[in-house]
Amino acid sequence: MNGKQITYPLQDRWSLLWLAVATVASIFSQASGKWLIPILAWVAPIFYLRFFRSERRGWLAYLLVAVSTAVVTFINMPPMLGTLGPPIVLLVSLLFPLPYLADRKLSPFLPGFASSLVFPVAMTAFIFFSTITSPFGSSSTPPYTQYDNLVLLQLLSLTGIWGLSFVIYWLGAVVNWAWERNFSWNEIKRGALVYLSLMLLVIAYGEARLWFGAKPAETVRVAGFTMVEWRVNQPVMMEAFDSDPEVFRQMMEERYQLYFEATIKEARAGAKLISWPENAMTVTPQDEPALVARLGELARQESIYLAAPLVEMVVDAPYANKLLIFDPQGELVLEHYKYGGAGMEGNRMVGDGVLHTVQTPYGVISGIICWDTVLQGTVLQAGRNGTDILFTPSLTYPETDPMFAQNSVLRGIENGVSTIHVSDMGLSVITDPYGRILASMDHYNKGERVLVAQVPAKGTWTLYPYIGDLFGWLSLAGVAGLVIWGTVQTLRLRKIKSAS
Amino acid sequence: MNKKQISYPINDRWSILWLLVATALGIFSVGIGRWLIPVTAWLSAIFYIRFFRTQRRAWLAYLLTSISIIIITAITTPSWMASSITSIIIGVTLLGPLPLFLDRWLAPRLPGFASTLVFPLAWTALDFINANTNPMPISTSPYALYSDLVLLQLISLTGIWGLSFLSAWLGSIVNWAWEREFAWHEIKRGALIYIGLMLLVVAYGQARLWFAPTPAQTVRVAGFTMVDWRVNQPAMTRTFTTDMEAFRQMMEERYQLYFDATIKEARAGAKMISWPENAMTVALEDEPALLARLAELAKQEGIYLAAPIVEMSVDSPYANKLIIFDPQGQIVLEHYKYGGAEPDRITGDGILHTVQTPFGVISGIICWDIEFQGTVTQAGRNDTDILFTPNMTFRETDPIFAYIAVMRAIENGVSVVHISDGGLSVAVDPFGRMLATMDHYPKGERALVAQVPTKGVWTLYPIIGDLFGWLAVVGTVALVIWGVVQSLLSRKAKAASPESQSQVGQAI
Repeated sequence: MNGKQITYPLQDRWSLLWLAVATVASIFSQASGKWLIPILAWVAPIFYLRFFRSERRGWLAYLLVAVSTAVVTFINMPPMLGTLGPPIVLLVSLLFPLPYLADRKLSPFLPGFASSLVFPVAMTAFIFFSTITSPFGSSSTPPYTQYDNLVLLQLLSLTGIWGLSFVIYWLGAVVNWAWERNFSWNEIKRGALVYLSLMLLVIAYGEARLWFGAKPAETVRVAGFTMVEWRVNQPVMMEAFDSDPEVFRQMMEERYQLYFEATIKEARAGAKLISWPENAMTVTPQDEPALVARLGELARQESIYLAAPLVEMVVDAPYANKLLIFDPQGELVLEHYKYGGAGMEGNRMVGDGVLHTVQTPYGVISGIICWDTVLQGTVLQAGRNGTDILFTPSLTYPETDPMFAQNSVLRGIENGVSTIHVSDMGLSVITDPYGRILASMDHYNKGERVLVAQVPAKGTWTLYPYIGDLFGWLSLAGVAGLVIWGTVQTLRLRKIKSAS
Repeated sequence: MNKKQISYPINDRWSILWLLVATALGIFSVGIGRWLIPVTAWLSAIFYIRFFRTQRRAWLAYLLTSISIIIITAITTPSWMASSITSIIIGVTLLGPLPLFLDRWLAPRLPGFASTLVFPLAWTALDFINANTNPMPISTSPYALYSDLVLLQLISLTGIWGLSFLSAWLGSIVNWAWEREFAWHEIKRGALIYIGLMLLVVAYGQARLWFAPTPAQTVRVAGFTMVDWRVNQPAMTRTFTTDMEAFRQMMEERYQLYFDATIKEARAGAKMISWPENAMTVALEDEPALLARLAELAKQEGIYLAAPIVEMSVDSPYANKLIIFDPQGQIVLEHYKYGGAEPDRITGDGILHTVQTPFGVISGIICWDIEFQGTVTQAGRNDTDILFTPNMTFRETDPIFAYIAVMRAIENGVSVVHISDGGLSVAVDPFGRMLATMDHYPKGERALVAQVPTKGVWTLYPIIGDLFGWLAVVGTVALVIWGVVQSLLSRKAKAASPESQSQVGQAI
């Protein structure tokens, strides 16, 4: 490997241009953004890094990258976050330049090509740390930008999203390493080949997994639909709930009927598993037993497994957002309380985060709700408890469509399970255990909103649920190690200097 | 642009290694192959070109490349094409290395970066000629790139030829840079041109998907495959020739399966239902009765029914057609398969008919028809919104037909409902986005249901047709003529050079 040592800042009169390029590329590389060009997620870090390494003053580099980040984050911020927006922009802007700072300070201490590892490790650690501390979990983190690349996503079955994060950011560091050597092939050959081989390996793994992934021996017909927009009448509904329970009951009954009728229709067309979206049944605690009995009767009458999300509205106690699954005998066989987004959705009960399963003739089924899907470390239970089909009913906003569909698909690949994602106000998708789309349906299309698919009744084994976020932790440990080592080196240099 | 001129062959002791690398990559770059890695379709040309330009003797380069292509063809050609394997092999042996040969011969005559255009032009021209002369043009190179929806949006402008050109151009550009030892200041402008163009292509694709209008209306469409048509084929053909009553009985069982499933899906709300190719197999004399029953079925359930029929006959050509019934039970469309080289079949006239429905304009073609991109462009011009492409295929060629159907959808801006016996069934919107997929092979029900947009989108490609393919052909021919003229001129110049002049002088 090439041993040439380079110290920062570099001389580059185009330094600010690179920041501008990085900013523009970054605007188009946010997983949460409407204007995502996946390849730019690989390109933007190249130029941020070049800027950060070539800006003369470290603090100014930090400040300018923070400003750039603020612009990018502001543009891509979904409006539904409301007053949470400004603090998020501020926080992200202040923290995002950290991995770049770490790179500038620490990579000169590492010899040759090894110096390119500092940045991807620091960035992966940064993303990992933010996912374990933020209520939004891993949602919309950079690996999600590669949602359309099924081959690349197969890596998730091994490393979770951390491997993908690492290779995306390593490219930035490798290109800069080559740039600083004027792209002279003789000097950069070995480094370039190391990176290219790794990427070829990742692609070959992904392709091989899709080629050799067992064709399902058996499938089951699954249906889902969104019959009303829960949020559309939310104010009226709340008002009725507060003022006139009878009117509220009447309103809800009309909705129940829509879901009941569609269920009967799809069941008679052959669906064995039927899922409704999050909040499909909204009910008061006193009416709940009667509703649950009716749901049981519906499942029994149509001989289906029914995944029915239910919101229990209450006046002054925490409300419940849960998923009930009924079996064809009408028994309640699974009850799951939403655990994700704790504290973000008003006074809601928080589930214990334990994923339950039900053995059925069509494989083992399990279910979580909407925000639960962003917590990849919790969802990996599905990869260990034998789940074959995971229900992820959801209710979202136009601005966050199709983020939650992506969460669901990525969890499916990580855990080797089929996912049934039926989303009120969003994109509904059904995928097989490799993330292949079996059916998709946009809530905003006019016309019937029914999703039907033949879903594999068997999941596939994956490594990720067993090692969990190991690669995330490794990158954190790596950064800690680098910082300590860098500090020691600095102290030693100082000592040598003072002794000279 | 850098003007450094290079003449071939170049010295490279690894020459043969590059051929091996190209071959290894080539095996994974065939759209019809089981082991497709799309990125290899971009990479293998790089090494073929390097080999061809570094091999000392051009005829040997040609021969060795032919052998390499034969190996790839032998590995990736599905066994059901075995009967035509000889002609396939002769074709690829003679023609396969041609773009490489033209590149070696003509590229050095063009200045600087312009020299990189020879290979992609010749490659695209060959692809185009193959697609228009080969009865089974499934080998057309862009079909290997089916998995990248963003890139595929380009074909709404240029047809698949834009993709063919871009993927081949990378090969000659990398070689151009290689021959300049990848020295950045020398290759900068050329590299930026290509990267800039690719970014433009990606931005176009993304922008097209971003700004795709939310469908104002969708219609529930269903399709299913109830039997493996080929499973009992020998028994079926035998009874057909020996015992007509038994044949009728066999077919009646199949009809019932399709009728029952149709009723079930219609009652679940499907307004259009498609069966796969050959779903109804019937003797000529029984056909009128069957058609009456199909009409009654469509009427009774109030659906549009796309029913592919095979009309078996003893000693005249058989018919493979698609009939669409409306909810009044009328036959509103009749299409005869025009594609493919199946012997003794009536060949359709290749005209795409349409039916105006409350759910948009519908049209239909059958299986092999979809490989003829030029013919299918009618769908992009005749206002078709939803195109039915019922299909029957082999496991070995699954799922390429489904993805070719997706490409036709993007090219023509139509939704496609592709129901495939023995293959992957898909329903896609006019941008190629998957609405539903269903694999024929797992146990369990084989029904596909989707909410399909009832309005297509305008695309350029059907209007300009295969313009880019023709341009590539014209460009290649022009280059060849120019190359010949240049050769003659330089020969003349040589003849006019001092030594020969003195000879001339002596002669005088």
